[in-house]
Amino acid sequence: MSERSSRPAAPGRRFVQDRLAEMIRVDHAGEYGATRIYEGQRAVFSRLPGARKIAAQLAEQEADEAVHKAAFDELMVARKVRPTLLGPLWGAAGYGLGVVTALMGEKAAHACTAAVEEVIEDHYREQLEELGDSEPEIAAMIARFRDEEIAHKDQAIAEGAKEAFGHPVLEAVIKAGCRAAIAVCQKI
Amino acid sequence: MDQATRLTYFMPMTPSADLTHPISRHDPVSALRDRFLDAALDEAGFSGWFPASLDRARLAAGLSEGEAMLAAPRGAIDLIDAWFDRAERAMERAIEACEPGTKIRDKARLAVRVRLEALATHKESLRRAAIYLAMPNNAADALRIGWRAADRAWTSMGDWSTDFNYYSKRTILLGVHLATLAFWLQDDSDDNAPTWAFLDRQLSGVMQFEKVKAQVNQLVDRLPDPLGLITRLRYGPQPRP
Repeated sequence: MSERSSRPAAPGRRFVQDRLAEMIRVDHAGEYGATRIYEGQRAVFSRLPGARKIAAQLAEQEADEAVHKAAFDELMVARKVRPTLLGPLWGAAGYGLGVVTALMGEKAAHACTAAVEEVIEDHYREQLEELGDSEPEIAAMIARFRDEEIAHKDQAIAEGAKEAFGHPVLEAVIKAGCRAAIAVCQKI
Repeated sequence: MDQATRLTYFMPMTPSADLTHPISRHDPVSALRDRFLDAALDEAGFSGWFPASLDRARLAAGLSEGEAMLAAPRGAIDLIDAWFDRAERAMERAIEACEPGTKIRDKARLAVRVRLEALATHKESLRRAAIYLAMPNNAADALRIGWRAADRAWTSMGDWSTDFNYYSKRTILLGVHLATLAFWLQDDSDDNAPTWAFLDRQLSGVMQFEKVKAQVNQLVDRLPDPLGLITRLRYGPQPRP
């Protein structure tokens, strides 16, 4: 093991498979984290009779993410990819982010959605470039999910994500957090 | 090396070779490794998995030094790895042959038992292998090989978990497996009945733990949720829906 990992990865089937496993692992973790963010936000808004509109919208987006996660669940079992070891951490962090942004206000909640979905959109675009012509089924799935994430982002911006108090700071923090989580999840 | 092996060995890779499984039956190196391993298993029971005994095994198997290097570049670790791989294949076959609807607990018992029985043909060599794997510089390989057993057991049992349970399930099964292995190495009875009784007790212990865990979770669910209070603090009192 140690001898193998001290060498740079050799090109070939083994490397390609490991890389694909990393992609599936990080995507699965990302969709799980996303459902947890929406769950956290809904936990707050569902208690507010005045926030029915945003609660319904979040429920819809959460349902999309749940479908994405289920698809990656299946792919993960089929390809025998191990899930990220940090699942409980992402679960707690996602839920916490959801609750905190929801407590900051509806616009902050939308700003959170927009920031997260933008990072995911970039991430999926990079993966699609990397996959190229290989694994057309997975690529088609990722492309479909990316389009849905873009729709979520546009919806959030239309609802006033950019008008949230402290938007640039909030956006920068959330984006940095998401990128860090992506980098970690691929390996761990 | 006999004529047939020599021929397969130098033949170019044919399209019939199963490239999705690098170490498949078509792989001439694995044929060498199997011969090396069979000889080493007979040898290790007497003198352990150390270089001198492996050298005697190599001569007994009729392999050149180069062939031995090819078959097991890392020596004992690669051979033990291949040996356990055989046992795990038997384990996978046994689990997959289970009737649908067999309880997970029964499958887990079967997994541990079949793997041990597959290794039982060379019990003394297994004892020596355990000693060899327990040496600190082999710790990483010992963990990798042990984890693989638990992983393959759960995968063939049809495990669908994609969260932290993936890890806890494997860890618990690995613990049961290692405890049973240690017990079995001390068990001198002919039919291994004490070992299987021990295995049953271990599995009952796991089940007991799961019951307590479910009860604790229920209890935690009944605790008041602070989120309602925080929401009221932030957004003011809300009319009850």
